[in-house]
Amino acid sequence: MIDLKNVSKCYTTGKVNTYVLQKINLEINEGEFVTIMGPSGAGKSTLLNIIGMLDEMSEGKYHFLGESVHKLNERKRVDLYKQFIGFIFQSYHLIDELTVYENLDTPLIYKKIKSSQRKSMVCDTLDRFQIVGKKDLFPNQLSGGQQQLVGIARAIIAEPKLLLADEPTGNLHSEQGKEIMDLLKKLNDEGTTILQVTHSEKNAAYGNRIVKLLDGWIEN
Amino acid sequence: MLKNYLKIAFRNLYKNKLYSIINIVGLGISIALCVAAYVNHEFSRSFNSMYENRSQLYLVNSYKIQDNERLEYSNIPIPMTPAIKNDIAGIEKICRVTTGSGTLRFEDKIFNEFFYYVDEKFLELFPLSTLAGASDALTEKNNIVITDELAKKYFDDGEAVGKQLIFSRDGDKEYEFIVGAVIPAPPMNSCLQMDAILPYDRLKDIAEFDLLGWDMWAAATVVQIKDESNVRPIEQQLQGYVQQANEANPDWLVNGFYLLPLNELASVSRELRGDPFRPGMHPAAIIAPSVTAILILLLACFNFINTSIAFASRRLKEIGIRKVTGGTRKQLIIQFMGENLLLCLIALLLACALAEVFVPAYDSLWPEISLSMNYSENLGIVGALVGLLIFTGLAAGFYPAFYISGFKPATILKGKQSIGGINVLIKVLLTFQFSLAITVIIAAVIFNKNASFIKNFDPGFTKENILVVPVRGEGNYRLLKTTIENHPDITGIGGSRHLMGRVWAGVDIETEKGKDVIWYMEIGENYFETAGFKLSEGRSFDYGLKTEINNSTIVNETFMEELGWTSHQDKRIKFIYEDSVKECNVIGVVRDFHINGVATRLTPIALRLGPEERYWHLSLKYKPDKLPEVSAYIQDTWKRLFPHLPYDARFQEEIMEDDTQTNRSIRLVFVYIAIMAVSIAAMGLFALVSLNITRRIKEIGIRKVLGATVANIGAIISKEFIILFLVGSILASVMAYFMLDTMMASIWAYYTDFGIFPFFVAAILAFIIGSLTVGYQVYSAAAANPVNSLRDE
Repeated sequence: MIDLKNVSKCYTTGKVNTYVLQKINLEINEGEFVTIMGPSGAGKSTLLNIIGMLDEMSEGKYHFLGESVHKLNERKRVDLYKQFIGFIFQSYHLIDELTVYENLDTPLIYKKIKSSQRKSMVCDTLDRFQIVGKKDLFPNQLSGGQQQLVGIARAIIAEPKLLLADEPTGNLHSEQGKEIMDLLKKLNDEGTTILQVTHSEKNAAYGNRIVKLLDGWIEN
Repeated sequence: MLKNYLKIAFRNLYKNKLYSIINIVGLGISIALCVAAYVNHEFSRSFNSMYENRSQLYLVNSYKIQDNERLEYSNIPIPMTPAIKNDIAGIEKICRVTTGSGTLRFEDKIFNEFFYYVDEKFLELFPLSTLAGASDALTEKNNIVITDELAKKYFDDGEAVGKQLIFSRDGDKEYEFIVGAVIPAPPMNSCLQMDAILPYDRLKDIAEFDLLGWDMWAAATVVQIKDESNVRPIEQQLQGYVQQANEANPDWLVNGFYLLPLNELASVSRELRGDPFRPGMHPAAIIAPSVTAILILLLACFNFINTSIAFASRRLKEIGIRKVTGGTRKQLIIQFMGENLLLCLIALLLACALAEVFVPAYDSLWPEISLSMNYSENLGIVGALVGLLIFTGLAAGFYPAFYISGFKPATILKGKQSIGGINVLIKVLLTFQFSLAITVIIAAVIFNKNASFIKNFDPGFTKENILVVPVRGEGNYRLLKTTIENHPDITGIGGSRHLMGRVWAGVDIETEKGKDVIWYMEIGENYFETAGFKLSEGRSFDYGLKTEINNSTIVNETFMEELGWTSHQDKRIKFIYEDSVKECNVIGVVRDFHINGVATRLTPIALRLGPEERYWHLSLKYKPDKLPEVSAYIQDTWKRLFPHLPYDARFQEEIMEDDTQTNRSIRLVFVYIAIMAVSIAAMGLFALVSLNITRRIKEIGIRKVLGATVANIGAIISKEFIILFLVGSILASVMAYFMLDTMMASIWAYYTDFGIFPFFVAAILAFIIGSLTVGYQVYSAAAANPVNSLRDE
């Protein structure tokens, strides 16, 4: 599903090139639950962003479901990730001005799904995550765990093939964190490919493969 | 999708009430000003638009070339009209117009009115729908046509048709007229400006005009030509009358005749001489309001751009998430533009309400225009509003929408996107805003200064405590004078034909230095002293000496200077009038006086003594504190002596008042504009500073932890703004200087020295307003406990 070949990312400051990622080769198959680990500054989030097409690589090739991402223009890339990728963030990143219901509705709107169909999709998802009672609340009326639940719900509502999670439990206490991880595991069991970034060994144990990053290199 | 956008737009507006209100109020005020300017502009454009066949109407004018300059006159010989009617084909209708003054009387009501003497086709050329009576009323020689305003004034029941009005031209002879028709009073944007209309032929007996004499001139002649291709040939044929006209008027040679389309009258009426029509609006009165309104609108748009950009920092997260969840840049731009349009729409509604106040307020400042807001009758306004809405929405929302939507989601969500402080665009706009606001303050201050300049301007004669009573008619001057001259509160009485600030005349003269045209005043007994003229050389008129009338003249200092005379001794001037030539000795030199106050430059003037039967005015000087008594006494005496003449006395000061009135109106406009411009700029500054503080709250906290004092931090926040303010002040001073100098020079010959004071006052005033606006915010940000701002990390 994901095939990275010699991917590097560097920032140029003056004449000095600073490499954040160096010659990354990584293959992830459909249905995997992969964890990226490594110390702060190792390039974990950058790698995740490149895979999620939010960031561009400096060198290398990236094939996603057979498409050559490195050759696509921005618009095609947006179309691609809009269709296949969902994001979960450490700090949830819900739109504060919208209710839970409307937050879930937003990605569907951008996919130009018809209103009646959107309605049933949102209702199904609310039901599945057992947050029907919270649908008219605004994000700041929810606890952190509940917000992340909405964040995940929003990420998977359009049924992406790949779920990218950047420290999904980083801002949660352990009880809530466990619930979220159980949920991710369940989603994986149902067929969604998941790539998560985490510091926690406990969370990494939910996955079936660990990729360790150090100073921009993959450790073997 | 639309619903989602609308919802978030409303929530955003509501959540950020302060910014929404600032922008809505600012845009609302400025759009309302634009509406007022638009209505004003439409008014000028609609000049004569009520006459449906106006594009077929032409004035037959004459021109003469003098010193290589083409001078145009609306006058042509009176008998030319019947000749044209006979000789020239292709003219539908032709009508002469000659103006006249006089009184109308019905029972005990008597007033001065302004008359047009016209041929019978007049009402067809200028179709003013007849309200009552017959539209062909002017074919009957004893008929008069009056406006509905007059009908109301003279007849209590408003029913005028068939009633008799007594007309008198000079107070002596009276003529009976029957009201044949009542027409609506011509509106302010019509070129017609008469109160009543009389048949042209009556000039023969009323004014003793020889209607067959080619040396008699009509004030204007209007023709209707249906086929435009006939215009050039007709103009050609008109030249055939040049010889006949010149033979009859050897001292007034015309070079030719031409046709002036009525549609062009408004724009040339200020250059055209002799015409009896209302001039079109002064170009400055059309352009200035539009320019000002657009500048103010720009101010408000700048606010909007500035606050939106600064405000974007608060919406970064939303933008990032929208992009991550699949929103394209285009969709985001549509969203932001939609929000802008929504805000503008609300502002527009506010503007409509404000315009209901602004338009009548502006209208009331200027007597010569009448503006009204009527949405259903004037679809143009609605169109203009929609245009304004789209313009403002685009102008104000375009940049922020593009700027904000261009951010990269990864950068935003990592928290690394910065709005880069106050960016260059904001700086430029803010500087421009400051300078515009300061410019209008300077204008307001200078017009204020000019008001006292005009008030204290010494015209070189006495204008205080002088009452002027018009006394046309034989013997009226003497009768009034002998009746009142012994009243203890009246200290001087003078008679004159001409009057300061009102009536003067040009005359051809000849001296040993050659020919010239100068102004002259014909004055009468004691006027020199009553008016307070000062002699600088020679003597004043000897009113007892009969020969003074034909043989003596007094000139002013400018006259002496222009002719290069060092002394009046043995100097003679030949005055060349239409019907006679008078050779006069210069008996004295009067100190320069400003006959028109500040409006016109000093010019050579000669004073001559006229015979008593030519006096038009009696000027009397009264004791300063006795005004009510004297005024009542004169009025009573007048009513007793001349029950059939209207009492129309005015104060000399009031006659000179036009300058003051203009200045007062302009000053008022600038004071209001200054208040609005400054409030809009202040609101913008407030919004910007508070956003700036919000953005730097953490930096402020850290600086305080590191030991910065409140003053340090205040300085850090204010520094940027103060630099921009100084640049803005300098720009404003330069801009204001040139703008005001041009403007005032186009209105007055003499106006106040600007000095440096108004520029400082304006800058300091603006600075104080600015400091008050942001002072509290800056202080509270600087004084806040840093723990609070650093904790919520």
